[in-house]
Amino acid sequence: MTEAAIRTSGLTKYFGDLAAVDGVDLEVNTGEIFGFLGPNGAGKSTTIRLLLDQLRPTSGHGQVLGLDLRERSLQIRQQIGYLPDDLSLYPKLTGRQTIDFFARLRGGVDMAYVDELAARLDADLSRKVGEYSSGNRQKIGLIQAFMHKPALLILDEPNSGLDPLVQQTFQEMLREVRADGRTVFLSSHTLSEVERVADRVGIIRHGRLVVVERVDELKRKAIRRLDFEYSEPVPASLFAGVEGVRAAEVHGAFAEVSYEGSVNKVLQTAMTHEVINLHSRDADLEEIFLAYYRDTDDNDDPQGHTRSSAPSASKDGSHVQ
Amino acid sequence: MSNELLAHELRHRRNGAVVLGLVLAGYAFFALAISGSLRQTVDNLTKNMPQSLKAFVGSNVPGGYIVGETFTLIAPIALVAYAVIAGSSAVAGEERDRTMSMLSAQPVTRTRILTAKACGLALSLVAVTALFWAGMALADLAYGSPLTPGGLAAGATHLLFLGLAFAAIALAIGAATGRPGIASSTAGGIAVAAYLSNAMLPLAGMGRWAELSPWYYALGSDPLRNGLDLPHLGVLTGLGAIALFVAVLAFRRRDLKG
Repeated sequence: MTEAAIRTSGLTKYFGDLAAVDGVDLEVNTGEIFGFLGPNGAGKSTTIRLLLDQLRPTSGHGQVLGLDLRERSLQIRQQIGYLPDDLSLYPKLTGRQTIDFFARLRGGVDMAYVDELAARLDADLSRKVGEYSSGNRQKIGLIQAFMHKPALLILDEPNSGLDPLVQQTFQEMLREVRADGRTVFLSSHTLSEVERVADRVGIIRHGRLVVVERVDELKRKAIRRLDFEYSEPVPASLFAGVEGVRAAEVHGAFAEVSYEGSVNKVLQTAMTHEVINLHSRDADLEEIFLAYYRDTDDNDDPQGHTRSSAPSASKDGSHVQ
Repeated sequence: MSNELLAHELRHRRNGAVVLGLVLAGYAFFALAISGSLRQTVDNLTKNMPQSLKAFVGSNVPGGYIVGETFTLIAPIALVAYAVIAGSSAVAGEERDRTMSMLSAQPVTRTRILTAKACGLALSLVAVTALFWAGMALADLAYGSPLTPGGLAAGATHLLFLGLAFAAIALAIGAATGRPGIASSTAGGIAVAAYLSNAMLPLAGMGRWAELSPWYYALGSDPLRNGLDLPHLGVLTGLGAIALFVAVLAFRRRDLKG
């Protein structure tokens, strides 16, 4: 099977005057884990709901598993496992009844596999859904999405409410799906949730697909941040000119450093003074966009625009890039 | 697969329908139980009233005022209110509760979802009406009354069809808009306006206009006395069928919420 698992061309959805999804050309390969990244409200869920025929496109079209979105939605949905964003289930059903209901709508599934999934995710199926924590509800949603071993998993913000241990199990499960030759379409608003598992990432912003990139490439370009706390004030120019540093702000004994690429040089520099505490922060997507645009648009300009807030960097004339 | 949707729907409606049915049955039972002794009193009060006012008060039916109140006021209003509330949330309620996105992602067509909802709604109305009828019939057996079991069954059937028609209207508005609030207020408003026009217009000498009201086809033929009126039931059925047809068309066409 070489056809794309998802292919859209010019997919557009307007709500009134607002273009929630605007001319999206998307191609997700069979057998890959594709991360669909974007800030909240960027159009991720709208795109997904177009794929599921819950919303009807204003223009454009698409195929899922080689089948037309509109004409063959029923056959598409037979082969899809879906977890919606902000999952809601029937509060009066137990976890088990919920699974049974969706299993029967699919014409039955292997219940031994359901039990296996429940055990792996450490999900409680015995109580009513209304009494569950959001984490356990999310687990029910995941079991429901995985239980029929669908050819394509479409998961909208699946990590929400899962504790880190379960997230690890979940990522293992995603890798197994990929090893099985099946496809995962994984939406998220944070890069860290998808970078460990995804092969490629598409970034949507204001309804437009702005980047499709291999994850390793994106990570290479992504800006990360480290905050250092020192035992005593350090020179304001400490990080000036260090390889990879984009911006550095030093206030007495505190330093905030944005960098890209390898962390080694940053750490080496940082540890020339006594570090008491170290805190790493995720680059947010906005910064990734900026990094991406900078690298594609400004390659000819060695100075770049560094958004530098380190006064020392300009004082001693070194540019941080 | 469709059966599973229907079973799910019935499980969801079961408690509400059974409770309402039992309350109506209990009410009907006791209403009939005391109607014998009250009849004389009420008859004295209303014997000089014009026919249309008697109809409005409900004292012109066999069994007198109490039975009239039960059949022309309490039971139909309870049944129609239930029909409107349940109908308006049947489809749109899943969108309000945000369960629709899971349900509609399953391999079931929208038409199938809607059909299951409509069948579940109809069966729960049948259950409510049947319990109500059973309460009446039981009291009739125990205390005796001028009512016949056939008349009771006919009266209950007419009420059932009235409920079905309003349930279908509420379902259709909900299916078209995805908003249970709009559906229940619109369908409820229509039901109240139709009820008042059926009850009031004859008092104002405009009896023909009352025939525009669905309530006329539920009560106008006096089914307790005259049995089933098939043309009237046909009108209510047609109304429900048109509403269902609109519901399917609208629901298949639009963007789903939630």
